[in-house]
Amino acid sequence: MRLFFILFFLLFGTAIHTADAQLDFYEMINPELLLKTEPEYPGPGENVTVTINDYRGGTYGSTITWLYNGQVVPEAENRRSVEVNAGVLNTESTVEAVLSKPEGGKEVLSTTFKPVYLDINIEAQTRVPEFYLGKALPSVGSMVNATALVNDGGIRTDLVYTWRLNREVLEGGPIRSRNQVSFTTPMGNRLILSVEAAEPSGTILARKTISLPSAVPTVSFYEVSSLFGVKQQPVDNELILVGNTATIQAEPYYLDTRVYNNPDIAQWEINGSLSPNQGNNPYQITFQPTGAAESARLGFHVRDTTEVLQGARDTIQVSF
Amino acid sequence: MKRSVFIIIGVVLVLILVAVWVYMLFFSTTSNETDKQFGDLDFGETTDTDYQEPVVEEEPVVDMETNQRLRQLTTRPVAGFTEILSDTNNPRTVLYMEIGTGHIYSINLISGEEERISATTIAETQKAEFSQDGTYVMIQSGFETKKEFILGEIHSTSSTLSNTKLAEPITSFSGTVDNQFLYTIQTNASTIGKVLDPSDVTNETLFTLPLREANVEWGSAASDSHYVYPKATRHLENFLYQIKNGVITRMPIDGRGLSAIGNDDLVLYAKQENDVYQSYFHTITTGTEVEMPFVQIPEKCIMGESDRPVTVCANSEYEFSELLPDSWYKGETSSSDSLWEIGLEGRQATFLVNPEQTSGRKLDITQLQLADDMENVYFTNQLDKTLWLYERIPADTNQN
Repeated sequence: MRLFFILFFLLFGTAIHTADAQLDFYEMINPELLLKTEPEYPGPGENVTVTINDYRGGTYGSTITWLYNGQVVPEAENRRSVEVNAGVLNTESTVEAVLSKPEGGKEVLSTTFKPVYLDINIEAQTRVPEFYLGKALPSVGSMVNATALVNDGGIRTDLVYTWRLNREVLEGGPIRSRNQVSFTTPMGNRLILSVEAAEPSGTILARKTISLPSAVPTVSFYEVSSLFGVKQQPVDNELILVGNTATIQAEPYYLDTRVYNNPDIAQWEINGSLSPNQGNNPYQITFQPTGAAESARLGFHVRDTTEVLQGARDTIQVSF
Repeated sequence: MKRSVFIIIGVVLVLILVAVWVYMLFFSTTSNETDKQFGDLDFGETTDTDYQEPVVEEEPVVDMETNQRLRQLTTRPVAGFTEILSDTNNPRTVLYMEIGTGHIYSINLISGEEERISATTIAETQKAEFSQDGTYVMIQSGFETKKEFILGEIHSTSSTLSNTKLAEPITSFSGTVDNQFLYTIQTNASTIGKVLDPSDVTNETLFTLPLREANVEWGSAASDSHYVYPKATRHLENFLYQIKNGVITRMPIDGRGLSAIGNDDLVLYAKQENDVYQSYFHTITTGTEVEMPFVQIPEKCIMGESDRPVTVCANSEYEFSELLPDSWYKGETSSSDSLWEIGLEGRQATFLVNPEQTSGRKLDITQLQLADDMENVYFTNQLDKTLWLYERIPADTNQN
């Protein structure tokens, strides 16, 4: 009965994530001595830990000698794992474990790795100001383009890519020669994105998993000169007005560009009262003090009414 | 009374008044107290909101009088600049383009004279790069979707710039030592690097990278090493490519928030490691890594090519270095930079100058540039975009 449950679970549990489950299933039904590497697909120069996975107890009483590219690793004598360097780009390295049995005879376990670079580049379609040198971050509901760049001495474009977002396979399965996918940022502070790159023959070259942040859009305020453009230091809580007017730009960092270009709500408020937008740019206001007051609260609110998390608001103090 | 008595009294009064006036003129002193009382009708502060302080137009000051090695060269905001090397006939000069107007000025570094050499107005000029000989200038004007790119030719006989509009969607550009321009354009899925010959406005592709949002650190010539990395954030792993003679090489350098500069032999880079911003020198031939003596944002450094191995950096102590580089990109990190020269492949840093101590002004130093002979270091102050000069080798030991 127990065996039946195990087989039942393996059969149906792996049906959803076939690619994930293949190796474990194989190991379970063929218990044997294996060498396991961590990370599984190391990059050039990366340290790799190779461990004996003994599912059948075959190492009992054996002396273990480790060889890295044919050379004995003396400090790893009789240890169940060894740490080696993955070596240079696109060069195959071999790690062997020689098991000398107490009753005589030897068994050699072997594994190889050929390190290549697999980088994931994330390009979120969210707003950052033009002067901002950094990367725009995804926010809930925004589009993200992810590009896998495999480099084995040159950038490879002829591979088969399998993308997963939070363990959901994207594009319906492996795709050939398309190293870029687009997806909508789901709910959650952090997303797990992984990609596997394989030769068309099926040999896996590399696999990488990254944790992707999901940012909350925020508003920063910047002074604007019609001639010189946006001043690159944000207003820090309080703007002291020199002269009788100032043009201020609200920058909603990480707001979906579709919302930025066509916002349902884009409102300026002065002391809590709505202020009409004066020009074509809803993100700019020319502020002019009125009355005898010495300061005012200037606020900006931008939002999409369908995807309500796509929005931000903030205020600053303007003194004059 | 007799008429003569009236005349005598009148003359005496006039003499007395003249004597008082002469005394006042030569011997009187005015006390501050008197000043305060005079005309102070105690009306208090004006409540007239229309009142404006008169704006005094500051004339550009070219600070050539002092012997300070650190000097402010302009009061105008600067979009781009270059030093024109001196020869027997021409003294050392600096060309710069003013932000907003696109006017070009020349500063004679010996006499301090400033001359406007192009009065052609290019509205909303934001960035400019000059060719090494100062004959051509590449200009970015306008903002956001209204950006335009212009190639200008400077004439020695006229103050008019000959402009050619460039049609490509340029994302970065730089002048070279052999009077060409390097630039990138963005396509739907890639960044393409090109070299432009300004004499006939022809271009040639240098490389194509499958990244759209990338920062490029250009070498001094098309044949030098250029470094490209995706735009950085402390939240994501980043990586670095070296491009030389069309060959794209993935450097063994990566990490969160990675940004870098480099030449054929060395790379200076910084990244986040366990919430600590760390800066390193990487020697390409040996693969060795040296941690720099201080936290350094690579974009605040300039590195000479491998035949001129000088690296100068602007450095501050950052209060929240775990937020770098994002906080610096946003303008949230305030700097009061000092200049340092980095030697021995990152193992040594030599202090050059602290502008706050020398000039009394806090400078957020960007756009560092080394003169071709390495004698001068130029930079702009991010806060007001003014141009500054530091004599790396003191002027009295210079030939000019």
